[in-house]
Amino acid sequence: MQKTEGEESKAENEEVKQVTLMTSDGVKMKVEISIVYEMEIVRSFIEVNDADHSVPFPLPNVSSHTLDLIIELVKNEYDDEFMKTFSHDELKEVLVAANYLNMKTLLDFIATAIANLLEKKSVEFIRNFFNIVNDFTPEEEAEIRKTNEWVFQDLDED
Amino acid sequence: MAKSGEDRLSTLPIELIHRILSFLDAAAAVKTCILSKRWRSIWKCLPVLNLDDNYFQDTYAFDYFVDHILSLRDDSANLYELNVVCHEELEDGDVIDSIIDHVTQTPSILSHIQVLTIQAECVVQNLHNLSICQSLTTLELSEIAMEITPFNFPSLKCFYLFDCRFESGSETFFNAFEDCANLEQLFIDDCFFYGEIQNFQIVAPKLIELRISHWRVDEVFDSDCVIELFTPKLQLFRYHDSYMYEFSTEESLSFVEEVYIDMDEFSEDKDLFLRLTELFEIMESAKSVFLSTSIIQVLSMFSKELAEESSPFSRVETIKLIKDSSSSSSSSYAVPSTVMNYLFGKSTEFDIYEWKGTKSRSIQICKG
Repeated sequence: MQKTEGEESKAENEEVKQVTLMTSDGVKMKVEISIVYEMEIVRSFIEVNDADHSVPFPLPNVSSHTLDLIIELVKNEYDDEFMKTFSHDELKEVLVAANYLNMKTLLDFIATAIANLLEKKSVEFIRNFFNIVNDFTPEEEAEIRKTNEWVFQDLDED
Repeated sequence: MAKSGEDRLSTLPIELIHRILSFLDAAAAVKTCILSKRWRSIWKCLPVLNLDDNYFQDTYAFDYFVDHILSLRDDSANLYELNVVCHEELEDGDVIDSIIDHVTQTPSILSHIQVLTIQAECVVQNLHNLSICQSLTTLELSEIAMEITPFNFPSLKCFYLFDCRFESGSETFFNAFEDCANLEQLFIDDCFFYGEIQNFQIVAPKLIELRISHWRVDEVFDSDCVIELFTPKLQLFRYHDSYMYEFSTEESLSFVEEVYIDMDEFSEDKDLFLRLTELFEIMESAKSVFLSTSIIQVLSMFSKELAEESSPFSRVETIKLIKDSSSSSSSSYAVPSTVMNYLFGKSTEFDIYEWKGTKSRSIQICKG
């Protein structure tokens, strides 16, 4: 639906087919309006203000590298294979940016991908992914396993 | 720059952690309590729970887990979506019934839950208790068996029934969805309605989409049961079966846009022919019509009767032929001229395509 509207405005007016976005590292990027329309934060601003598209819209929380990844993902209609090439930091960067830009489809897509990545992984892998420092003492950790035996019972047998 | 990025990523905001964990199996989500002190209680407040017996040795272990996760959750945290999957056949429906009890007895769930899906091969007793749940918009039931009195889910918009068995008693008139006044989407797939129903009414004033496939009323395949539609806002209708029920309606369905009728088998059966032409008349407003080639074959067997019938679709723009992958890949398909005249009679412009899955392409029509 958003795409259709993008295509319509593209057909109506050649000038509005791209919007310039200014990333946190100062890069100006021209982005197709159909992609920009998936970014609720930019879309609502453009619609309310009927803004001049040549003035860059600032995205102080999104780097040019992250924006590149997002544009590629949307262009490729959320291709799993492309996303599998992302590093853990890139996955998290895209997640945080999708949340900031309020891109619902991308947010769910990337959250699902991260959930799939973490499923059935070791505690150490997950700590590593989220940069978590284990602040439990071995005694505390044993205590948690004991009080939550209703979920850890099968794990102990592995 | 890179450093500030790392800092930002080292502590993801809690709503993003919730969102990731919402796509995980609940057992894996609970196990994150071991990660660190910050993570110790995150699972207790998750807005979405996916309970799946796949992660447990047996039903007993799953039961034990479900009991704990529900009772140890933070009662003040709202739950918006609950998905339950039991692959193992259950001896009884106690697990499911206790989950439903928990939903209806916990205020933070009862007044917020929007999506509930249950897949479990068992008899469910207390599904009707969900009628007090005013936030529920989507209910999906798979493989369950239950006695039904009319469903009473006033807030429900999407109702999906897959592979379910319903016992309807000795009622001959059955109005299953009358008390689901906000229903917009209804899918009934591979479901049996046991009993003595002669007249199955679907009363749904806001219904937009109705899909019926492999639906058996009264267990008898050649049942004379009539399906009556009181669905004035219906836009999409899909029917897929080897058998055709008789459909009827009192008021015309003037909002119908798309009709999809796929018959697995066909026979030279006058009743089938009459039921098909009656159904076409009910769906007379459709702009897109999808018909399986078996239906064209049935119609062509009654060309004498067809010649006397007036054409049903007054607004048709495209007709697509559904061909299953086993049928020949030939790009032309002979549609007898009587059938063509019948289907397109009132329309001057139309396109006809063959259609497989999501792909369609132009098809050469040979008048037979």
